[in-house]
Amino acid sequence: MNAVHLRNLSARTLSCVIAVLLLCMSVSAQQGDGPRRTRPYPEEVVDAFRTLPVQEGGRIKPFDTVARFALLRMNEKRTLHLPDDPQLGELSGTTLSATEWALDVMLYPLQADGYPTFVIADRDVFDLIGLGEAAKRKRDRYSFDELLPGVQKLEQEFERYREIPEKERTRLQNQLVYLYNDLYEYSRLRSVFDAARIQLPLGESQILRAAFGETGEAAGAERQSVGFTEATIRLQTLMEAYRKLEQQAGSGSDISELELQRVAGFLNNLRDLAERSKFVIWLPPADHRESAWLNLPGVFEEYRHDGPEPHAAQTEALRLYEDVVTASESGSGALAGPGVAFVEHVRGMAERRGELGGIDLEVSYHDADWFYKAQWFYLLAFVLAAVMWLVPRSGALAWSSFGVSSVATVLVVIGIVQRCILRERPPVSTLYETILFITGCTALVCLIVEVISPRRIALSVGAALGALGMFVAYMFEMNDAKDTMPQLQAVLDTNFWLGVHVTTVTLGYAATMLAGFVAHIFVFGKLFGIRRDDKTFYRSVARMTYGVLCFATLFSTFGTISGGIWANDSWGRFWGWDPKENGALMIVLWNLLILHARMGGLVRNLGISILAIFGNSIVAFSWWGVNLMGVGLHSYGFQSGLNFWVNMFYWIQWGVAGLGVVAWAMERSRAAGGGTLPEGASTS
Amino acid sequence: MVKAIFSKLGGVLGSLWLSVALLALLTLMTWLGTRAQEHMGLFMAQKKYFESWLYVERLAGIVPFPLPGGMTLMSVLFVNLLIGGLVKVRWKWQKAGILITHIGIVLLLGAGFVKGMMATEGYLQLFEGERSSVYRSHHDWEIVLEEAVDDGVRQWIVPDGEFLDRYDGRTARVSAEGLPFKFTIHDFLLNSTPMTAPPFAASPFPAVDGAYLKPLELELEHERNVAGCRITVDHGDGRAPTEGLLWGFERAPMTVDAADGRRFGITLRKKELPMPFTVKLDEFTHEYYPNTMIPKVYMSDVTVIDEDGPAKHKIRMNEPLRQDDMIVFQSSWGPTNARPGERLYSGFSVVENPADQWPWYSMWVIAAGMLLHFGLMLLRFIDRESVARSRGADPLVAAARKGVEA
Repeated sequence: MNAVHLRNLSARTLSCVIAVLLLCMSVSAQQGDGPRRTRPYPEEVVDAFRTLPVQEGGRIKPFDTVARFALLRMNEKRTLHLPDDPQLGELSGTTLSATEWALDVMLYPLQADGYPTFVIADRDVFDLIGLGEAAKRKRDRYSFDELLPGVQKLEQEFERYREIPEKERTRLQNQLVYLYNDLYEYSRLRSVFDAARIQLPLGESQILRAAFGETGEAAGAERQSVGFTEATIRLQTLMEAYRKLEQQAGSGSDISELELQRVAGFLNNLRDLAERSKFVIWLPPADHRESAWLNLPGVFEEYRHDGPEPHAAQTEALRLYEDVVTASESGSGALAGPGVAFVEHVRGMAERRGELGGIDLEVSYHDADWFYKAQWFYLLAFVLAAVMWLVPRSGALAWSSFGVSSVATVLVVIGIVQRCILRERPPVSTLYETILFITGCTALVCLIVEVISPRRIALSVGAALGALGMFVAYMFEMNDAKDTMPQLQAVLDTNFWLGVHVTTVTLGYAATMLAGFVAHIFVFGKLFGIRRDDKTFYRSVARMTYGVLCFATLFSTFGTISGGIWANDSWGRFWGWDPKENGALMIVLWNLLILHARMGGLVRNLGISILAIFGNSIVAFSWWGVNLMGVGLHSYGFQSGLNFWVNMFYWIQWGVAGLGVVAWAMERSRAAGGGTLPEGASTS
Repeated sequence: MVKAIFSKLGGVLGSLWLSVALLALLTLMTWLGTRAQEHMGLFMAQKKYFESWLYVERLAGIVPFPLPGGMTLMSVLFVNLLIGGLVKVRWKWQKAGILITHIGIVLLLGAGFVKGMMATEGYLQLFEGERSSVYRSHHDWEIVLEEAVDDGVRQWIVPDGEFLDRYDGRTARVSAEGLPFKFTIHDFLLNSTPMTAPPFAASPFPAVDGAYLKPLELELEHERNVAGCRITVDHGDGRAPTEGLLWGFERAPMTVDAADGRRFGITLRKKELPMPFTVKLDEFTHEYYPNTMIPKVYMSDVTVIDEDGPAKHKIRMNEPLRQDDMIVFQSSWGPTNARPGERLYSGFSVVENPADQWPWYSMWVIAAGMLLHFGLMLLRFIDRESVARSRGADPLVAAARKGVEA
C-alpha cells in the first residue's frame, strides 16, 4: 500500500474496530448465505446512486465521490476488477465502478467480502498479523474474508504503532496502520444498510407487542420483530411507556421491573443499530436552518424528542431506505424501482434545501477526468515536438504539437474552472490545486511565448512540463486518496486573499520553475555540443529564461508580500518566519539575485541558466519541502511521505546545475584555446 | 582624501556585487533558519538566525563557521538599496520602474524597522460579558506587588529586565519607594513546574513549604513557557525573611504581611500592556463545518469603548479591528473541551504597530514598479520578435529553417 497520507482514525473509534468487525461476522451469520448478485445492476440504479447527495467532510457531495476515494484508499484504483469465478455469474471477470463496488459492499456484503479489495504492498504484513501462509505475491490484493482471521493480531500491532508519528514509523508499521484503517472503513461502509437489514426482536414484552402488533402487514398476527423505521416512528411512545414503567418499577412491582428491562433492551438495540449504520450521512434534516445532515443516531435523537410528525419526509426516506434492502434480496434487477425512488426522494429533499446544486456537475467532473486526459494529450504533444526536432523543416509537426498542446491546456483549464464552480473558490486553495494551476499556467505561458517567439523551444518545454505536471497531479491524488475538494479552515475562508495571494504566489512558483526547466535546455545543449555554433538558438533560450524569470520575480514578490499582508490580518503579524513564508521569500531572493547578477555582469547566459536550475530546488523546497517538516502555522499544507521524491528532485537539480558548471569549464577551456569568452564567464 | 574614501565606500556599499552577496547570504540564512525550526522551534530559530547580528553554523556539525545574521544582512541591504538603488542609479524614465520598485522595498523594510522598534504584541482573553483595557505580552514577564487601599489597588511592577538574567544562580535585590520591605529574586526559571519536595530526602532544588520549582526544557513555542522563581522578603524588622515561590500559572498571589501591618499580594504574570480603549466581549460565535471538527467561523461581537463612546464591531478571522494604531485579531477560543451551553472565552491577538499598513502600500508600489519595468522590456522584446517574424512566412517554421540553413 503506497497510500501515504492521513489515514489515522480518531481515538474514540479505535477501540471498537474489533467489535465492528465481529458484528460484521455476526450479521453474516444472521444472514446465513445472504443475498448475492450475479447480474449487473440496472444502469439507472448505478446512475441514481452515483448522484445520491451525502454529507461528508462538511460538504454535500455525490455518493460517487465517497465511493471513488474509499476504493482508491483501499484498492489504489478507482475501479475493481473481479476475478474469474463461476459463482459471480455474469460478473465474473468484469470491472466494477466505485459506486457498483460500494453498492455491493452495502447491499451484498457477503459477496463483496470475497472481492480482492485491499492492496497489500508487502507480504511481511501477513507475517506480522499471523497470516503468513495466506500471503500471495509480494504485492497483491486481498479480500475482506482473507484478512478477517488476522484482525485481532492486526489490532494489537496497530495499538503499538498508532501513537508513533507517521513520519517516524517504518514502512511496514505504516502499512499495518493503513490496513487497519482500511478494514475499519470497509466494515463501516458494510454496515450502512444494517439498520434496514436487521429486524429487532420484540421478545416477550407486552408493551412492545401492543405497540407494534396491530400495525402494518402483521396486523392480526403475532409479530416477532420490527424494523428500524417502524420502531423509530414509535420511539416517542415507547419512551413514554418506558418512563411510566420506571415509575412503576420504583414502586416495587416485579413485573414492571422485568418489562422495564425488556423495553430498555429494545431501545438500546435500536440505538446500537442506528450507531452501526451511521457511516454514510444521507438524510437531510427537516429544519432548514440546520446545516448538519442526519445520520441514523441523529434520526434516533430527533424522533425521540419530536416524534414523527415534523419528519414526514424523513420517515418516507427511511421507508424507501428499507425498501432498497428488501428489493436487493430479490436480485439486483429488482432494485430499479426502489433504488431510484430512494435516491430521487433524497435528492428532492436536498433540492428543497438548495443543496443539490453541484452534485451532478461533480459527478460529470469526475467522469470527465480532465487532468488524466490532458496528461496523454501533453505526452502526445511532447512526442510530436521531439519528432519535430528531428525533422526541423516540417511545419505540420510543429503545428500539430502546438494544437495538441493547446487542446491539453484547454482540458486543464476546463477542469480548473469546474473545480472553481464546484468549490466557489479561486483556482488554488489546496496543495493538489497548486499542481493543477502551476501546470496549467506553465503550459499556457509556454504557448504564449511560442506565439510571441516561435522558436519551438517553449512549445517543447510546455508539452514536457504539462505531461510531467499532470502525472504528478495524478500520483498525488492516488497517494493522498482523499477528496480533493475539502472544506477550508476558518483562516483560509477568504476568497479575496486566496485569489490575490495564493494565485499570484503560485504563479511565481510556476514561472520560476519554468525558467529553471528552460535553462536545462541551455545546459544540456552546451554540455553535449548540440547546435554548438548556433548562437541564435542559445540566445533565444537564454532570453526566454530571463524573460520568464522577470515574470517569476513580479509574481513571487507580489504573492509573498500579499501573503504577509494576509498573515497580518489573520494572525496579527506581517512576517513570522514561518517555514512556508520563508520558502516564498527564498524564491523572491533567488530571483532577485539572478536578475542583479545579470545586471551587474556577474553572470551571462550559462551562469543565469545554472542559477535558474538551482532555483528549481528552492521552489521544490518551498512548494513541498517545508510541508514535510511538519512545523509552522501553515498546518493545512502539511504533507508527509513524499520525502524520497522531493529529495530526489533536489539532487537531480543540483546535479544538472553541477553539469552546468562542467559545461562552463569546458567552454572556458575551449575559449582559452579559441580566444573567445565562454557564455557564463564574467565580463568584469 | 576623505571624499575619495567616502566615494570608494559608497561605491562598495552601493555595488551590485554587494547586492548579490547579500541576497545569497539572505537566502542561505533563510534556509538554515527554516530547517532549524524542526528541532529548535520558531522562537529560538528566529533569535539565532533572523534577529541576530551574527550566528555560528557548524560545518558538518563540527567546524564552527560564523555568518552574518538577519539584522546585519537587512541593515547592509537597506544601505545598499539606498545607495545603489536610489542614489547612484541614473534617474531617467527608462529606469523609472526600477526606482519605483526600490522605493517600495525601502518602504517595506522601513515597515519592518518601525515594527521592530515600536511595536508591541500580546494577547487578550475575554469571556462573554467581560471587558478589558489591557492585554498581556506573549513572552515578557513581570512581578507585581499589590496592596488594597481605600480607593482601589496600589501596584508596584518589577519588569523582567530586572530579573530575567538571574536564572544562573544569581539573585536580584528589589526595593521601591512606598514598599515597606525589600525582596530578593532567586533562580528565575524561564520554564518551570511546581513539584512537591520529597519528605525524607533533600530536595533537588531549594524548597519552600514543601514545594520547589523544577526547571523544564524551553518549549519550542516560546509563549508556552511558564516562568517561576523563588523570592525572599526581607521585612527589615528583625523577623526572619519570608520565603515564597512565584509561578506564572499560580492562581492566588503570595501574601506578605509587612512590619507596618499592611498586607501585600505578589504575583508573577505575563507583562500587562495598556490599550487606548476598552474592549467588551458581547458574544462569541464559533462554528464547525457540519458533522466535522473543521472550524468554519470564529467571530466575536465586541463593543469598543473610548472617548467617543461605545461602538459595536465584529472581529473574525481575516477581519481584525483596527483602531488608534492597535489591531485586535481573532485568534482562538476556549475552553476547547467546553460542553454545549458552557461559557466560552474568545482569544485575541493584540498588536500595536504604527507601520501596520505600510506593507499594503509597499506591495502596490513594488508591483507598479515591476510591472512598468518588465512591461517595457516585454514590449521591446515583442517588437524585436515581430521584426524577426516579418522576415519569415511561417512563424513556427521560420526560425527552425533559419537554424538549418545556418
